[in-house]
Amino acid sequence: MFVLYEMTQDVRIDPVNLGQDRTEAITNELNQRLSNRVMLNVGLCMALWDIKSIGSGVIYPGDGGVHSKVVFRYIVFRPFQDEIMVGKIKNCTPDGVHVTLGYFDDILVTPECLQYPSKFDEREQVWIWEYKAEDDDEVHEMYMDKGETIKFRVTGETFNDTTPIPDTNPQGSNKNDPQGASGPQPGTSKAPAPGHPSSSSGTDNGAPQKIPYSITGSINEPGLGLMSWWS
Amino acid sequence: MDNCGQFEIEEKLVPPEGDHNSKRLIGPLSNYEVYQFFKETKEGNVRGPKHANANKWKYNTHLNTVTYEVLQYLQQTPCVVQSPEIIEEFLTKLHPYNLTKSERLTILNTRPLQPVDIQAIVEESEERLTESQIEEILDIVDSTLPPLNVNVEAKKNDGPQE
Repeated sequence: MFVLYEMTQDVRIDPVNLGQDRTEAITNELNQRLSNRVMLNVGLCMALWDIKSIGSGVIYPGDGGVHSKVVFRYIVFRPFQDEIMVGKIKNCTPDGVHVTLGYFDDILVTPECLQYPSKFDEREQVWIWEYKAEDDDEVHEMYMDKGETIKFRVTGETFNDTTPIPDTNPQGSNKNDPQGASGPQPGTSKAPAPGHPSSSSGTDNGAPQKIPYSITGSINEPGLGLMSWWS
Repeated sequence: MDNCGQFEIEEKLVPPEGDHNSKRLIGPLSNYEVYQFFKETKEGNVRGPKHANANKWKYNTHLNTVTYEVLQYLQQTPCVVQSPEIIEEFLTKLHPYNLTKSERLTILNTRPLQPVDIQAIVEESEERLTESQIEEILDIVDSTLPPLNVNVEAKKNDGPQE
């Protein structure tokens, strides 16, 4: 479910933070930059695990910040193919069952991946598994209500590049807007390289319905589905 | 696992190894490790008590959101009652069954209780495991990994000592 990624990035320490402990300043900077953001083809970044090495600080003309190359390890949410995970049903739509883990919402179990046969109840907006036991003819309606704990298998993942305009520096704008008061806007000179593949989670800037990272799941095998079905 | 903050600062004019913006998958973390990490983050002493300063973490709304939401999630999973000793014992006992690393990790994270759970986790379980082996694995899970239901008390015992 969670993995460790080693990354190398250029980190700029703002002049106001130069009085701080260097590793602490870099830790804060990396967490500001990456935490709770989806990095393209990597996953949802959670928090800095540790720093492996810090390169020498470089000062560029016209910029008071100190830039250093940092090799660090980051905790990333990236379930592997066929992983079994437990989540909660967020809601049901004709598209399928939407599952949430609390910190990650974009999980969809499509109708063909539900237990067979399942039907969607338009009035109650809920999926129902019409389970029929082998030894009796009665059809048991198994409701998949919102908030129920559900066990599912990860069958696929999709990354979407949500960079607003490919040429500008997406990091700069995303980084500074959520925490307005935390510091002066630096004239980002060469900071993180342009076209850096990380992108915001899309919720900050009200971007159109483009999901940076989504997971598809299935529950159409024994043992999967609502936890209460199998206990 | 506990090597946060122990690293060497390279004061050389050559950049550290690795290309600019390179990324490399190191390996999976168990829920237990992530849980411990965020628990420490929440307490603000991830870099050791001498740097403990809650304010440093307060203004990073993203990190706080992640910390809160991940802890909310993980607190409902069996990892809250695990410990390095338990995990090691568990992995040793599971060794003879030729399960893959990810299968063992999933068993550890989800703590299956029914044979169907094992069949879902283990690929081609019919061919690789006999029914009695599945029962044995469930016994190991049941005996080594503590159940989640007692975690409310366990957590309370765990809390004040930090």
